[in-house]
Amino acid sequence: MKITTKISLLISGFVLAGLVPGLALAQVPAHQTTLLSPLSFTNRAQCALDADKPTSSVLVMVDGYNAGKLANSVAKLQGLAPEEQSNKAMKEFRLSVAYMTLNIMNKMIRGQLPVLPTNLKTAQLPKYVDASQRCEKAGNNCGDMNEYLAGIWARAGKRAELTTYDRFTQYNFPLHSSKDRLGCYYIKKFSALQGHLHNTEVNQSNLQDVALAYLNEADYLTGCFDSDDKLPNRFVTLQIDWETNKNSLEIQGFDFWNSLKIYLSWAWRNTNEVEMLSPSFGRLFRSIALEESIMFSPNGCKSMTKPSCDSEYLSVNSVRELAKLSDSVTPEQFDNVPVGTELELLEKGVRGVNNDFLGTQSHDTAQGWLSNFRKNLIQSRALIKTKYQAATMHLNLLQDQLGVDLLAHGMNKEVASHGSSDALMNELYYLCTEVRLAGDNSLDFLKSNIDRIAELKNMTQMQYSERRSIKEHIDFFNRLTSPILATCNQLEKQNYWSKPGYTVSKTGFSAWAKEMLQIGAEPDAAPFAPTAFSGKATLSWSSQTAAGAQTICSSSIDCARLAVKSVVDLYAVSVYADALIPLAGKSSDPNLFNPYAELTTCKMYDPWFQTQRMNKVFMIDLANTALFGWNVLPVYLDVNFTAPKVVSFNQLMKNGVLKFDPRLEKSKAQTSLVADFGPLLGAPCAVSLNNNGIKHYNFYSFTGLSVNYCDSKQKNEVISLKATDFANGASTERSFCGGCTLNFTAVAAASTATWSGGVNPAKFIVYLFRTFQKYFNAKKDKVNIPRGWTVNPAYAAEVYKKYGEIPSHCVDMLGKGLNCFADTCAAKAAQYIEQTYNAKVHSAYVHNDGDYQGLSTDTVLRTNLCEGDISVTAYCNENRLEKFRVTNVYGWSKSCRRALGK
Amino acid sequence: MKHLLTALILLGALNVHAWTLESKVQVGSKGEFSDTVTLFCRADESLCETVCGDKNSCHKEQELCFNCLGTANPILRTVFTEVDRLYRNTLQAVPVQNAAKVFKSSHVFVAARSIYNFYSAIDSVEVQTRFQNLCPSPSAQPLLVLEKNLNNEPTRIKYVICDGVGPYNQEMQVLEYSPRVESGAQEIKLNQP
Repeated sequence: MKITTKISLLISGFVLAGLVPGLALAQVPAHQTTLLSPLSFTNRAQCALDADKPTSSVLVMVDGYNAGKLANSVAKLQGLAPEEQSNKAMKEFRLSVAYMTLNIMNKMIRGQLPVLPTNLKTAQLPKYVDASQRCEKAGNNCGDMNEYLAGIWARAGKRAELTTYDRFTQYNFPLHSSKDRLGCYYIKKFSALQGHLHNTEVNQSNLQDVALAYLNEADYLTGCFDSDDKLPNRFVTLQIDWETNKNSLEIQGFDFWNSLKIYLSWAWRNTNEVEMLSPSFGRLFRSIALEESIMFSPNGCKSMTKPSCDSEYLSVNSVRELAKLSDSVTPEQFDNVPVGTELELLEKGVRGVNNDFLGTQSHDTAQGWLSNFRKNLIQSRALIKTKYQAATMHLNLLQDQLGVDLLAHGMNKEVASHGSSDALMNELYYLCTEVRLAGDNSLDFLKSNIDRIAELKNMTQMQYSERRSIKEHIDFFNRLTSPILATCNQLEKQNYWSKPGYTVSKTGFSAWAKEMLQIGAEPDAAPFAPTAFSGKATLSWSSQTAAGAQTICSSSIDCARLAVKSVVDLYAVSVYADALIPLAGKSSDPNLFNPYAELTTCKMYDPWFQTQRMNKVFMIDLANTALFGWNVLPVYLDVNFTAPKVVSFNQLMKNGVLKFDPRLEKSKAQTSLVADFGPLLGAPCAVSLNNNGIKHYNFYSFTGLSVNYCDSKQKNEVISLKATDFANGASTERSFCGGCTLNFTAVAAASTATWSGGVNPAKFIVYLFRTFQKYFNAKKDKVNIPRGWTVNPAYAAEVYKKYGEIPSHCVDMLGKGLNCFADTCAAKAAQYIEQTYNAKVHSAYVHNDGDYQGLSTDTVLRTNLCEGDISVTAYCNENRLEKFRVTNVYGWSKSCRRALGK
Repeated sequence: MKHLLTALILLGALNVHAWTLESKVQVGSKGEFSDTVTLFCRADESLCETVCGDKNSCHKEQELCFNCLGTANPILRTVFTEVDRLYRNTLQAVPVQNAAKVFKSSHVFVAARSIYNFYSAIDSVEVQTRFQNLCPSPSAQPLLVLEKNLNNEPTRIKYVICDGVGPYNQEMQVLEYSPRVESGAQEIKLNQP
C-alpha cells in the first residue's frame, strides 16, 4: 500500500526554497550552529558506561553510489549525459535521506507518530507485536508489518484514531513540547566540533580548538540541505543533533531511534515523499537498497541501540574495524574461518577511546574518511555475498548431481584403485583432516558452530533459499561427513599414512584449513592442483556456458572437500551477516566510536573496576586508621547545628561551628586538620547528623565520612556510617569531584569517656593523611575512573572572543556545559535565564555567598531582555549542579519585571 | 468435413495470438523517470484486452521492487552474473490463455540492459549474450520474469520471455524457467564416480 501525503510543516520555521524542485514547498529545518548539541567529552571508563545510555546526536553516513549508478543507467538508456544525471541523483538522494529522517524524527517528537517499543516481550501493543512476530516467522516475506505501519502513517497526528488503532498510550507519545529541537549538518571535515571523538578530557587547549572551530564553522560544517553543487554527494556524513529533555531521552531514547529506523525504511518505499523530494528519480529511488546505502552511528560514546551481548550486536559493531585507516586494517571479515566476534573482542582487549582511533582527523575531508570506510565495507560485503552465493551454489550442485551415496561410493572406489599413490594419499589426508576440523563432533573445532548456522536468524531469513534451506545444506553435510569419518578412522587404524618414505605435502590444504592449522605459505612450493583420478573431472561446467569450461571438482574426494569448504564458508558468512547483509527493514547503527559498548555489555571490561578497587583500598586504609590510629576523630559540632547543610571544613572552622576536643590544643588540632584533610578542606561537605534517639546529648561526634568521586553519574558514593564501615552507596546522581559528606552522631557527654583511652593523635594523623593521599592519588587515574564533561561550543566561542583565549578559570565552567561567569552558580543562573526566557545574559555575579551553609545564592544578571538588573535566587551547590533549584526571579526595573512576566 | 472446418477455425484462432513486450525507462511529463513494461497486441490479438481491457496495449509501471537497485538482492545477483549456469529453460511454453497471468504486479520484468544491473555496466556485452542464450531461438531482447514476495522482493526466477514462434504461434512467448537440477545435462558435465 502506497501512502500519499502532502509534505507540510516540519521542525522549525525555516523555509527551504529552490534547492531541489520538490523541496521548494517544503518547510524543513535549517542549519543553525545554535542547534549543535553540547559535546560530551568522556574518558575511557565513562565512555564505557555511556554505551548503555541513549544518544542525542547521530551520524548518518550516506553512500550515493546506488543512486548515481541508477542515474547513469537511466541516462544511457535515455541518451542523456550520464555524469550530470549521476551527480543530480546523488545530490537528490542525500537531500531525500536527510529530509525523510528529520521528518520522521519531527513527527515522533511532536507526537504525530507513536514511538514503537523495541522490546516486543514487554510491548503492550497487540497489533504491533502480532505483525512483528508474524513477519519474523515468515522470514520477512510478510506484508503485515507494512500494512500496520501504513495504518499508523495514515493516522499520523490523529491521536484518538491512533489510540484505537493499537493500544498506544501516553508513553508512545513523548510530547516533548516545543522545546525539542533538531539540528542537521553536513560535515565537510571532522573538527573540534566533534572534539569528543578525539579528546578524553577538557582543558584550555581543546576548548580553544572547539571555540575556533565554532567561529570558523563554515570550513567544517554546512546545513544538511545545502544544495551547493560544489559539495560532494558520493560519500556524505550528516550529523543530526536532537535537543531534548534529558529524562525523556533516558527513558525512551532507544525506542525512539529504533522507531526512526523502522519508519524510515517503510516510508521510503511506501509513501510518495521521496517522489516529492526528487521529482526525476523519486519513483525509482523507492527501489533503492536503502539499508545498504545508509548507515547510522551514534556521534560519541552513547548508543542508538541498547548494547546486548549477542551475536547480532557484536557482529554489527564489528564493522568498526573497517572504519579504521586502510593500511592498518586486517578485517576479520576477510578471514576464512573467523574466530567469532566474542573471541575477537577478547583478543583485542582493552584499548583507548576518544583518541581518534578511527582516524577522522587524518583525512582532509569527511568524505575522505567515509570513502575509506565504505570501500572496506563494500569489499567485505561483496566478499561475504560471493562466499554465500558460491557456497549455496556448490552445495546445491553436489546434492543435485552427486549426493551422499555417490560421493561416498566414489571415494571408496578412488581409494581402492589409487590408494598407494602419493597424490591420493595427500588428498585423502586433506579430506580427513578437514572433515575432522569441520565435522567431527568429538573434536568440535567448528562442528557446533556449523550446526548452529541453521538456527541463526541472520541466515534463515537470508534470501536465496529457493533451492534448499540452510538446514537442508547442513543436514547434507552431516550425512556426508559420517561415512567419510568412518573411512578415515579405518584408514588411520590401518596406519595408511605410515607408508615408508611418505610425507604429506602441506600445500594442498584448503586455505581455511591452513588458517586453522596455522600452516604458513610456502612460496617455493608448486601450486596444488587436485587430481582427476578417473581421468576426467567428476563435475564441471561445459564450454557452452558463458563462463566457459570450468572444473567444479575433480574427484569424489575433491567434491567432498568442496562440500566441507562450502559449509565452512557458510559459517564465516553467518558470523558477519548481521553486519554486512542488513536484514530488510532496518538500517544498522554500529556504535563506531565506542569499542567498549561490546566490551562492557559482554562483561569483558568493568568501568567500575578501578573505582571499586580504589574504594576498597580506601576502606581498608580507613579501617586500619581506625584500628591503629584513633577511634574517633576529635571534632564535634554544636547541638544547635541544623542539618543537612553543605559546608566546607574551612567554613566550619571559620564560623566556629567546628569544635575540637577540649583536651587538644585548638591551634595544634587545626594545623593537623589542615594537614590531614588538605584535599578536602576546600571541598564542600554535606553534613549528616544522627542523634541516634539520644535525647540528651552535648555534641555530635564525627563518625565517618562519605566521599564522592568524579563524574560517574551513578554508583559514585562511598558512604561510611562509621569510620570503619565504608560501603558503596545507592545510585545517586552527582556531577562533581571530591565532594564529601561528614557524618556526625549525637554523643552524650558521659560517653566521651569511651574514647578517652589510647588516644594517639599523632599516629592517627599520620595514618589518615596516608589514607587520603593514596585515595586522592588513585583518583587522578585519568583513564579508569569515570570522568565526563559537557561543552557547549557556542559558550567556548563566546569566551574565546571575549578574552582572546580560554582563561583557566573558565575551564571548569565550560566543562560543565556553562558559560563563563564569575563563578559556577552565577553561570548556572545565567543558563537558567537564557533557557527559560530565551535571553542572552551579558553579565552575572553572585551577590551574596549564601548563608553560612552555602546553599542559597543570589545572582544578579544583566541581559538583553531589559534595562536593569535581574536577580535569581537559587539553591546552588557548585558540586551538585543537578540539584540547582531556582526559588525566585526578580526584575529590579519595570522593564525587567515586564520581560519576566511579573 | 465438419471436423475439418472446426480444426481450421481452431488453427486460425491459434494463429491470431501475437503480442510483443517492451521494457524501458520512460520519462513522464514532469521529467520523472519510471521503469515500465508495455504489452503491445496485434489488432487481432485478445491478450491485451484480457490483461488490461485495452485492445492495443497495456502499460505497466514496475513500481516498488524492494532493494532491487543495489547489490542486496541475491536473485538479481544471479540474474546478472550466472543465470545461464544455474537455471535452465524448460522449453515449456506457457499456454496463451495463461499468459495474461504473467503480467501481474507481483512480477518484475528484467532485461539485459536494465537499471537493475549493479554488477556490470549497463551495456555489458557479456550480460547481453547471457540473456540471449536463455532463449531457444534468437531473441533480441529477452526478458526474465521474477516473482516478488509479499514484501515486493524478487525471490524466484519464473519465466523467460523470448522472441519466436513457439507452440502457441506467438511473436513472443513465455517459457518456464527453473533451477537446473538434472544430472549430466548439456551445461554440466558429470562423470559418474
